[in-house]
Amino acid sequence: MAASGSKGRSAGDLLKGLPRVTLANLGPNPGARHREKRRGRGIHGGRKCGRGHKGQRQRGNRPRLGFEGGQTPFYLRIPKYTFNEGHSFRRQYHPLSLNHLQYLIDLGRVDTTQPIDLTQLVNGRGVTVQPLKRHYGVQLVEEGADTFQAKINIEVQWASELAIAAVEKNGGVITTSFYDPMSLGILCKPITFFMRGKPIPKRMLPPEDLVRYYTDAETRGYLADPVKILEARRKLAQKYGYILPDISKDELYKMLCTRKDPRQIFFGLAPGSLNPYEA
Amino acid sequence: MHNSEAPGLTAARDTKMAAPINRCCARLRAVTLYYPAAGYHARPRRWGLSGIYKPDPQDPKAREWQKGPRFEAKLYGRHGSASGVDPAQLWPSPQRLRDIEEEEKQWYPSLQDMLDRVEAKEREVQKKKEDRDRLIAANLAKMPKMVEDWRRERRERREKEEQEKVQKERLLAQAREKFGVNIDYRSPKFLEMVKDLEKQEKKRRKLLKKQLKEESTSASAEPAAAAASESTLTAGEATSASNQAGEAGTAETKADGTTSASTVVGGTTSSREP
Repeated sequence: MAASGSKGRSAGDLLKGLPRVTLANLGPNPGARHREKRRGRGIHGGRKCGRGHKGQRQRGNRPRLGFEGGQTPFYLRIPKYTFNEGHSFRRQYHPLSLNHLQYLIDLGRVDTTQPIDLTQLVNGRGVTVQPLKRHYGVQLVEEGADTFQAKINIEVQWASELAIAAVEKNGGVITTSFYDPMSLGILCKPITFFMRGKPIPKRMLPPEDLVRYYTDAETRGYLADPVKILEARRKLAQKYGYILPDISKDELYKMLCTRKDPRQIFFGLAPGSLNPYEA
Repeated sequence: MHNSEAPGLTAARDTKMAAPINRCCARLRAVTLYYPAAGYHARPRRWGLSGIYKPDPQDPKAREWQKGPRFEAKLYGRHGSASGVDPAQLWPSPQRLRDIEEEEKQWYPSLQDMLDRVEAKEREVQKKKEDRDRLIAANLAKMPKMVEDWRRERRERREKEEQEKVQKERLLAQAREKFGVNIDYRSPKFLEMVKDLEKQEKKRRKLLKKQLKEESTSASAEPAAAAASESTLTAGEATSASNQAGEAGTAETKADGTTSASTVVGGTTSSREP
């Protein structure tokens, strides 16, 4: 600096030497501009330039989208109804009828000596669940309730009252449980998940509008009080007029009592554990 | 390069390698046929014969996605401990775990919280419904009386209208008798006549008041019943007089006709209103 007697230039001097910020010095950023494409040049020169023969197509003066040449266009002519409002956010449950479940069991595609959950159903090609398409699991539909005869321990995501009654009438157990999309994907395709080498995450709680459903004993929710569920089983048997079989004396009692923890995705595997085949 | 003979390939081909997958396949084989049922189909290809591929991180030719912890996790998931990956690195670090926990605390409410909120919402809805029901019940209880009132009002209004009509007709008849021709109720002649009638009525009232005062001061001992009978008598006379009301209508009404004159005045004023 000047004060210290050195010969170096000060910052102000440097700035004075640089070009000034003026309108004349401003320009577009590098790469912001392209050279305009010159149509009809080169080897394809001078015929139609890839735009076809005559008309609005060639001249590029087509009317706006939805315009019908002056008559009232469709999108204004038809009134707006809101039946499907929010359809892209609604939860979807793949239907699984008792008829089809019986069919799967009869063919041996689903093993009734083990608790049945979504993995079993998907592996038996009973249902196809696509979590990316807002599927949240399967719903047990009451079609075939009269002919259903299997004794099963099944876990579904939604069930109608009659379907619950049909399962319990045969001495089975049914639970409705919620899986968040991430857990659902893992449950439906376990092998692909285990190949990723990640620890099993914990299942998330249901969203607020589903809390009532999954804490309710009437719907056999997985968050409901087990004592209340026993009471609800008895009540449902009374309502539909069947005798509730005593499962405590059943030879498959242990299997029928198997339930997942609310945070558990797979039977027998705690959240946080790794590939079971390696362990 | 840690392996000069086969770059990027672990040479170890012992039985331990790919053990989990083999075990998996063996289980599958136990339930299905190993070979295709029809002999002319090709046998399934044997995968993973060349061992585990682990790229050297220093090698510039190695793909980006084949380096790093994610690919190592994949290796472990596929080959298990034979991949040589330390399983401890598959779980989140303590710092990351703390972050995850914090995030969960912030964004995911507990079940009890959600239940409380749901119950509060239900209570609110129930309260709103009860309030509405109460309001409806109270209004319904009020309804018979309101209907009765409305009916009464309507009846009274109709009666009044009828009365006014009669009065107006009477007044017009009076005017016809006085002027000898049919007269419009808006004409100045008619209006003047009505005004005169009003004036007379006023005067007569004043007189009556004075008389009453005198009577009360002088003969307080006299029974009130006699006075009442007298007044009714005069009223009867007045109505008859006003009905006839010929050329001397004004003079006669001045002398008597307590009630009739007042009603006449009221009728005209109301008929002029609209």
